[in-house]
Amino acid sequence: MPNYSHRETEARIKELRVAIDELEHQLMETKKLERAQHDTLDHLDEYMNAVDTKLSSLKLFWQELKRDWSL
Amino acid sequence: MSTHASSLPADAEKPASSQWLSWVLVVTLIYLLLAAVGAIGDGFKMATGNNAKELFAFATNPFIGLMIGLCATALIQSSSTVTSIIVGMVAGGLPINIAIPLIMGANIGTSLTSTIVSLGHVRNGEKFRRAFSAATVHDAFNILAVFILLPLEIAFSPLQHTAEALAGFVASDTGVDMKSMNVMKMALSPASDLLGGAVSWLPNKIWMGVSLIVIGVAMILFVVSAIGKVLRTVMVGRAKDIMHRSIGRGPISGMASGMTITVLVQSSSTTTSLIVPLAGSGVFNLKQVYPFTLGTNIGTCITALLAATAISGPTAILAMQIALVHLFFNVFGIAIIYLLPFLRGIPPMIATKLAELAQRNKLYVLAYIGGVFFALPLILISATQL
Repeated sequence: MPNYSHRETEARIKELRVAIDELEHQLMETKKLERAQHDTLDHLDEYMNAVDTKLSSLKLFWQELKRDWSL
Repeated sequence: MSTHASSLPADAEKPASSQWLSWVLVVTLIYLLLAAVGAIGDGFKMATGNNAKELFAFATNPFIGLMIGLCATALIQSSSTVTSIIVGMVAGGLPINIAIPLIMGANIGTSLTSTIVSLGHVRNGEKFRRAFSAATVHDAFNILAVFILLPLEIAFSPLQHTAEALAGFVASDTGVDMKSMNVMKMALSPASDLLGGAVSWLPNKIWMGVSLIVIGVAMILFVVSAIGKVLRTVMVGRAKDIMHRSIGRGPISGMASGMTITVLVQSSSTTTSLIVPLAGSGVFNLKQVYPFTLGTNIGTCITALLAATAISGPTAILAMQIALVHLFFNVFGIAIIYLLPFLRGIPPMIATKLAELAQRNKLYVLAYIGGVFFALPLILISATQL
């Protein structure tokens, strides 16, 4: 009975270790993503005038649409 | 995070004199915006006499009003311009119940800008899918908000009544109730006199009124575009700072940053377009973009509120009321859709589906933009006129 309990405890510890590893991995991924977000925001100046690209965006889309149709 | 932000003092990189000049320009442009709104109000009053209600009888059907607001904003590409014009028109006698659907339509129409901006990523399938979903989540939310709030407004007028109650506190029939705003009335009178003098040679009041409206609209178009350009340059550092701080802090922080940046740059189109390439790159996901976009809806209300302060006299309360309707519409929209879990997921779901279709075939994009923003409104307007 104590042996069984011991095995059960070991299994539980293993389970918890896996869960902690999983959480640590998730946290690392989140931190990596947040670092990437900060790096992108460092270049916000490049995106600030995105609203001015609406005409060129529309033109590009139209060209692509025409190209698709001519194929 | 804040250390990250503090290492980006873009404002400080500019010479102090240039910063100072930019702020003088911003103040001048705001003055012109207020003068323009006042001119529209005066012109509308002059041109219509007391017949504004009859003149706008065709728009008493709220769906027509909604479609006019939507189409006008989609064409002008600026909800700030349209809402400022509406504030001026209400001051000139346009009934509030006609103006409310116009404001709601403007809210939908403004989301077209970021959708168009997302088309710039069309050559890269995956990037385009992400950018298009980030843009259309705004469309979907605004359309859903109108679907919920317009029928409620027609039945019970909650927006009109809430705004009416609050407008009474903020404004009075002698102008906005704060002492500083009486100063504003005095400050605006030279511009008002100048514009009035410029059209005084015209043969009658109708011509004078129409000319004032045209001048006012032209001024607002110019000012909103110019102020956006100046503020984008001046505020980029602050916007960076705000966005850096909001990372990893959840949706409320995202919403607050969207709202604050929109207030700073005086344009929701700028803010929603700014987030499109960020989402397209895959660094920001739809879950993060969604609350940020909702914040821009609230931030953009500042322009109409500012415009309402330009109105003095008996219609000052009405002008403030319609500006507050704009604010409450967006606040209630968020409170209902974002706070109720079963509604919250609908806009991202629609945006995701639309983006998948758009990635599959570009004709879906054409059908969506042409249909929702132009064809459907025009068909509905034509159908109700038959």
